[in-house]
Amino acid sequence: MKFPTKHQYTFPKVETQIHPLLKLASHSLLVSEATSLLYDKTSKEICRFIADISRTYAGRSFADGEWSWLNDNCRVNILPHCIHTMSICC
Amino acid sequence: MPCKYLAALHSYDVDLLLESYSCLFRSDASYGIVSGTYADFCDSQRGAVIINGILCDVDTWLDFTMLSPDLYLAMPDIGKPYGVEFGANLISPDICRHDYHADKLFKLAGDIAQTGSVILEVGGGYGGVVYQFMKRDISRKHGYIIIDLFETLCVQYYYLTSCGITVEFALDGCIKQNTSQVVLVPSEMAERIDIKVDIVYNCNSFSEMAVSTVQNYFDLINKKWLPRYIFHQNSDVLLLYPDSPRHIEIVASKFPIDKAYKEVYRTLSPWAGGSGRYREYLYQRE
Repeated sequence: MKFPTKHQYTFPKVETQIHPLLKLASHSLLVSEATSLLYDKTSKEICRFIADISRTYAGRSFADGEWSWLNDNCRVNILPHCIHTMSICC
Repeated sequence: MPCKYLAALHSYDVDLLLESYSCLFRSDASYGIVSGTYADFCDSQRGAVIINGILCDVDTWLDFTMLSPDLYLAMPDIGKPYGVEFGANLISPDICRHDYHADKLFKLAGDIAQTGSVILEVGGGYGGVVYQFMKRDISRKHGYIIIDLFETLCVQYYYLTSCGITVEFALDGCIKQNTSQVVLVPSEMAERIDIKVDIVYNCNSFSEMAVSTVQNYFDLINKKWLPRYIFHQNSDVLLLYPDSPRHIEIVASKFPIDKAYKEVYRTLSPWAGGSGRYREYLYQRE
């Protein structure tokens, strides 16, 4: 018997393990609509701090080489990669 | 499609940031750092898969931790989380795994030093693991450092601060010895972290980095930080997207862990998500 190659291998589908509760509850009942306090003063203060620190961070001056080990693969590519891929692989 | 969150952050627009963060679990501020998306969750078929995973995770969590869901699994009402109502609690897609990992980290930290250890997490998501960790570390005796992309550190800052946890940025990577704070460090500054680290933790991101980036992290782990434990969950066996020009992958068995670290165990990850490709590893320095 040969082991499957990576191209032949199929991941087990999540649906093969159906949780019993899933059959009992309707989807809409399971979706919680927990609400956050939008635009409260504390949240705005936190956001103001983050905006300030983002401005500080963007204004930093790095000597040559200090960015080197976080190379193009991270700053330039990884974030868009994550945004593109994580939703389908996790 | 442009990311509204990144645009808000890079334009320093406070109101737009507030708009993103106040519903961060449903906005693109959390894209890539929560399992699934809110759009998937609202879809009847894809949502059923996510809900099924949450229910399976709750069973696993109850079995493995034997703790009270009321104490540990309730999501705080920050950022409009979504999930399954279980008893009086809202259970989000990731919280069972976060809490299980936090429980392990807390026990390892206690084994190393009752007076206080330092945990270093590479890639902290929205801050879910450290939040669960802090539920246990009530007296705040352990330090917790998160290294991440700056944009994600800002999400963690918003979430953790809103949860009442004291958080500080170390934009230059300089952290005082024996810190007992949650400290956020941009990944560019990782090599400047110059304090004793007891545990390095990573979940699902080493295996999505370029080989050179993983090598740099393990150079720091193996030669500089020298933690007693490396605890991580990552993908192994095969590359899920071997031909993708967009998705970088390195399997866990290729991580350059120094021979000074002995494998304590490896096991299949018990948590839903990742189509079964994740494994959990613990290494100890001899």
